[in-house]
Amino acid sequence: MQTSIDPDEVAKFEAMAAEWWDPAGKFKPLHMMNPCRLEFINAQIAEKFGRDITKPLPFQGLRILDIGCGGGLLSEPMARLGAEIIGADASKGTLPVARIHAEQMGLTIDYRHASAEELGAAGEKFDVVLNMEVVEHVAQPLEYLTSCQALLKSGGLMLTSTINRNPKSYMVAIVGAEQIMRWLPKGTHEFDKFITPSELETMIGQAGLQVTGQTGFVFNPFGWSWSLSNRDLSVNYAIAAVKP
Amino acid sequence: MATKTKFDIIVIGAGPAGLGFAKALAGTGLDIAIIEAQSKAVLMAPPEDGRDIALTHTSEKIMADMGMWAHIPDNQVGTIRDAKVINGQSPFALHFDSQGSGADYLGRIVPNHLIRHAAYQVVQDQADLTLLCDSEVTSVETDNTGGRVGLKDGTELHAALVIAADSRFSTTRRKMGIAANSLDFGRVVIVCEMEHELPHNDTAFECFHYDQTLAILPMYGKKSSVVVTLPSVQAEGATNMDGDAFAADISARFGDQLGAMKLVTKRHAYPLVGVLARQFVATRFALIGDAAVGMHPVTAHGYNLGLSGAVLLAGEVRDALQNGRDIADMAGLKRYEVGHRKNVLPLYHGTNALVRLFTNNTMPGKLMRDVALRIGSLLPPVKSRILRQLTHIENHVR
Ligand SMILES: Cc1cc2nc3c(=O)[nH]c(=O)nc-3n(C[C@H](O)[C@H](O)[C@H](O)COP(=O)(O)OP(=O)(O)OC[C@H]3O[C@@H](n4cnc5c(N)ncnc54)[C@H](O)[C@@H]3O)c2cc1C
Repeated sequence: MQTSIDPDEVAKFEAMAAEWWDPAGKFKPLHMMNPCRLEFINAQIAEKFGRDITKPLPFQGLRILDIGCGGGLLSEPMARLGAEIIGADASKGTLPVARIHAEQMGLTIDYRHASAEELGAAGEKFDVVLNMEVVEHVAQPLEYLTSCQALLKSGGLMLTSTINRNPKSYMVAIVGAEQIMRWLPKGTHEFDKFITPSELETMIGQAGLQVTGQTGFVFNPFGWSWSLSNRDLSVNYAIAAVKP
Repeated sequence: MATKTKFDIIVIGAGPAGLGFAKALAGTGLDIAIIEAQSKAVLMAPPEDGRDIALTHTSEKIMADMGMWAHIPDNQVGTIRDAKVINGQSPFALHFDSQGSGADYLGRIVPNHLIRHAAYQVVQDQADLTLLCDSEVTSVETDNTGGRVGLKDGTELHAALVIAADSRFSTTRRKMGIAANSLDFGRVVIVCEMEHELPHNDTAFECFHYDQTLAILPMYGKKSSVVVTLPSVQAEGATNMDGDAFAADISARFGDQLGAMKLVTKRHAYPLVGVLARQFVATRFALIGDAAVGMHPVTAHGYNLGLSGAVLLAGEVRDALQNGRDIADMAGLKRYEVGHRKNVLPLYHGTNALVRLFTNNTMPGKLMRDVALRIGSLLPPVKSRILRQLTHIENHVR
């Protein structure tokens, strides 16, 4: 990587990368959920673009954007599957962490400190936009989704995940995850910003995309694992949409 | 000196488990290095080692899928259809056959050196596979970012995942700081092959004599694999006595059922030691084959379990690969560990408990359990019953 950072900083970021990527560490909930998210993402991309995921590098030739990439939990798998991947994050802090980890893994990922609007202004276009757990954090969801739409090539795929808004999601995502389990720092989520599936579908439609599918991510406290569900969208869920 | 030093996976040990694991990942595009202490010449033509491996139906199928079965000549494959127990003077105390099992045979018997040969044949031209023979591992280290394996010639190899398949006395396991329980039975098993006058009718025999046990397993033609378990102090005598006298003694021990017998191979002695690693995985590291669990050899599970474990782990690696996850992802390694331990633990503890029982003395009731155990691995329908019995016995032994 292009290290204009001084060595002390690098050591610090290496330690942060190790922490970020420790499956039993601070970001354990994300690591636990990740295989399930990936299963959804991979199946959607494979289906949309007619790729066989049992073959090496199935996503070769696809240009994918991971918005809100964090430490690179989704960007790295996309790179391994052969995609040309750009990981964008509006927060500057985790980008060096993501860069160092990708380098340690021998992966080529273009990590950028940029927002969807900025990427759009730069004229970037993608086959796939991964928009996972971002929309519940932005101030103007419809405007944001419209900027994401503008980043897609025609026929491109956007995968958006977020958290439903109902008493159960309040209990699970805020009381459970933040207050009881302390999986997430308090204040990570604001209940008012959660979005119901029908609201999200409407906004995605208004942003100019066609919804093609929806899936729930369901946590099973007994098996302590996540799985995909066609029916249960009560807490975490995702919507697939294409640009006509 | 190895010219290439970066791999996806490094496998230490090119025994049946290591080679089987590598084969199970053929076609994935993963870059695999296998490090082996022995020479390539030995791997290509492994010497006869006296072990004749009783294979389950599952192993036979895996070997066929891997293309190994085609490399084993038909006239070297023995079939077990029936098993009989001879208890001292009273022959046929117990009788098992394949009739009730749903399959038309209980299992196969194949010489170990042919299995090793076949395992080498199916990987020798595998794309992206590097075999480093005559190599000695001096250091093994793994961390979050990768694994490093140092060789005696000074080369340092790197990989995302390191696998130890270097036998029950695995030095890699030790280098990785993984503890193992080991149980030395203080006995030795002597194995060899004998030809005989009369046909064995695809029948395995078990004979019990005081503190020795004798198993005779049907090989192809009028030949059998002979497995004698005896106290260590008697081993040297039994190995060094005149071959004809030894054969005559074996024949007499089980009532000359097969007529005159003739020793046709060397006698090989193996100490009876069971080893169970406390954990099968660590960061970017996994144990497979005997390095994970070294079964008491008399129960004929080692190769079978090693193969199924290797296939299980390879499945996790493939799954990670197909989903773009790190191939050494801890969640996948853990699933292998949990799954494999579930398969091996009952057999490992059950076997050990039984062996302890038998080192005391023999009783018809106990006999039955031993035979059930020995043949049990070949007979799926009775397995659960045997397992229940094993756990039951274990409670009594403790
Ligand atoms: C007498 C006897 C009878 C048996 N009968 C049966 C049976 O009927 N059915 C059955 O399923 N199983 C049977 N087994 C068990 C079976 O043989 C083993 O389980 C099987 O060989 C284990 O395979 P492995 O690849 O794990 O280890 P091994 O076969 O021990 O191979 C290990 C390999 O690693 C290499 N190695 C070791 N250390 C290093 C190092 N530091 N660096 C590089 N290379 C190294 C060795 O040279 C060797 O090639 C029997 C065993 C014995 C002793």
